Amino acid sequence: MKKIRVTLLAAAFLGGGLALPASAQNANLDRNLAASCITCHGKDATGTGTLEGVAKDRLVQTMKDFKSGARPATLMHQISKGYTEQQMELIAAYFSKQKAK
Amino acid sequence: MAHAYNRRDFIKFLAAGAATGTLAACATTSQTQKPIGRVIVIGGGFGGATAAKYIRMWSGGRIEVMMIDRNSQFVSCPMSNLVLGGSKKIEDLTMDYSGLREHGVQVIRDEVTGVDTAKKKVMLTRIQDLPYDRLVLSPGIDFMYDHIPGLNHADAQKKILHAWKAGPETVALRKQLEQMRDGGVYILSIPKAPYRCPPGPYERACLIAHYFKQAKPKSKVLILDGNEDIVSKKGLFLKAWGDRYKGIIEYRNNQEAKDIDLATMTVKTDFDSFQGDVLNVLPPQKAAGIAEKAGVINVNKRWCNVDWLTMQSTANPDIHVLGDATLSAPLMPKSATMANQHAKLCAAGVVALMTGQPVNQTPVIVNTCYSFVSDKEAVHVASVHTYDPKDKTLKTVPGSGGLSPAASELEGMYNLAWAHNIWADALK
Repeated sequence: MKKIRVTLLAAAFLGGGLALPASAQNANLDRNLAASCITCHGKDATGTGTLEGVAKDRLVQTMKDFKSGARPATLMHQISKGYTEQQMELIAAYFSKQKAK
Repeated sequence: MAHAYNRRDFIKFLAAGAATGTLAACATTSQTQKPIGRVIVIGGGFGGATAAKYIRMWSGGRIEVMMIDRNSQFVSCPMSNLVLGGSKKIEDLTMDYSGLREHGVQVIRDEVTGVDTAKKKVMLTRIQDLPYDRLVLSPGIDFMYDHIPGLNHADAQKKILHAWKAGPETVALRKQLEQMRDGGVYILSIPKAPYRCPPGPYERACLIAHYFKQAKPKSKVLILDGNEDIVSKKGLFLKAWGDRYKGIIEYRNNQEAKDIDLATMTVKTDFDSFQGDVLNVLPPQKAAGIAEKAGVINVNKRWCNVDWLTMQSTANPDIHVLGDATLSAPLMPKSATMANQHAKLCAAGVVALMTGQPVNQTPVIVNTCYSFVSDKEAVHVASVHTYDPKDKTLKTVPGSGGLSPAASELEGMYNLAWAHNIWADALK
């Protein structure tokens, strides 16, 4: 699945204006979901910490712990409840592939 | 589909840029790849700046982006109430667009006078018309002064300020507060919702009361709210007013400003009149005038309805509208965070449409609004919004989001961090 997605991404990038099959519909879903987080957690984030380069499992677990309440938070317990586990996996996988500063 | 990007246009544009001296950097479009087309972004605030940057990034530099703003610098509305309270200077909230130029955004300082939607070009005052393939409007708000006749002329507007767009008015209102006698009354008039930044007026009341408490303790803050009740973070603001500003802040609901009298410094509502030493009137608001000229104001003659998957106007699919100018989705505030998130929906949509890729059908976006209740302590409201394909709108995810349990210095620090981080996301 992941491989297919990466291939499609590459095709999208190289192909430019080429129309892609409907299966590419969510080609950039991970990037698009992660973009919401970057508002507060970009590569130069202060106070909140950057997510770029964070290991996938660690980020997924942190989000889950915020959601369950296992990890205390001022705000992230409320935001993590807006995401499914599948969305958390996509977001975490995306950030883990970005270069940390 | 793409606008034919010809050499003549480019040379004309370069000449225009050189003449006005506004083009610090040319597009860093790859030499080996032809540009896919041109996007013009009108408005360099939280929505427009973020959209310009993300369209460059997500197109791999293949979409040419021009961003036009009448101001040469970005001044942040969020945090500007701290300038009124005296703990920040306007310079702390003022930034330039050099970071966007590094992303290859062509930043143009000019006033847009019109949009020819048939020929797909933007008219300006200083340089010649600029053609576009897609137009992004992030124009912000205009004030509906005609609803407050006494304020509908320049003399009154010089003395009775809104300071609801950060910049010279913020500085001028701070000066009025500094010059006010101890024992004076500051009146804050709030329009009926929807307006820009729902908790903003109540935060402003807190920070000005905080200033009075330190510097002129006999003074009062009188809030005249056009709404039936406190629009945002009600419990948290009431607690702050009761605990910290008792005897300083007075709140009156259902007191929409219908007129003002400049000579007597009076705000008139349906049945009452209120005299003050400093009047701070926030008039009712609508999408800024350029949205009207582009023909995309299509709700109540005030707001722009959009397709939330791409932020395309429902009146014109070539035009995307972002930020406060949009008809907000349910429970979505007109906030900087929302404008930032709109910008990313827009950037993903623009790149998908211009490269022939499918549009993301399952977006999720987040809102976070912090408010200071003193110079150091803050509270928040947060929400997560996901697309409902049946109703074709963004809706809050059940069980998500919420408010702070109480004001804290920790959230005051997070509030400042939020500002630095969202500024960086827009401008660096």
